Amino acid sequence: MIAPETQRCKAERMGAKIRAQHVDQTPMHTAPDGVVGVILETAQETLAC
Amino acid sequence: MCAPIPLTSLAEDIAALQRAIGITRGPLLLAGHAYAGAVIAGAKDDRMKSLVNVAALAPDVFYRAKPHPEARRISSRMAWADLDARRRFCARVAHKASPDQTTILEVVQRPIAVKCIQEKAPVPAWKRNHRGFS
Repeated sequence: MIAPETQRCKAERMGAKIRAQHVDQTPMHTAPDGVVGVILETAQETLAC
Repeated sequence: MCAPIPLTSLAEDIAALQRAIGITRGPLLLAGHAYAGAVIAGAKDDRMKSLVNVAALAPDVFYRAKPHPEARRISSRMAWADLDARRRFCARVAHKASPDQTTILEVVQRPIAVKCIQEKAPVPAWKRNHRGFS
């Protein structure tokens, strides 16, 4: 399991947009709507022609 | 599409992702969970537009992760046959999963070679002018 503070530190280092949610280490199974939401948001912001 | 990475080493996993990328067309969004954050950051393609890291590693150059003690213990294929060990591992990483989900995770989770997180990471994509998301 990757500690939340470690994830935040790494995300800030890479200049990422951060979407924090109260999930376990497998959110694609236990909170799939949140994961899909982040992916769709990213797609809309970065893949638009 | 889901790139079938073998979990044998970081370089081999990145190579498998590159092969999957090779059969796609159009702009690319790469999403990776946990260790796969290191894999997607190692991919190179002019069509890459974004990275989505889901509870993921984002190694910088030369970074090496410390394996979870349990992951190291059950990383050998022999130990992987131990269902109790898999159950303990899944309980640690998927504590919000339902019993049915946990059963599936125990079955489909494959062993990961310690080499995956002990190899030096290449220059990550987010250092090569890609936008990063987490």
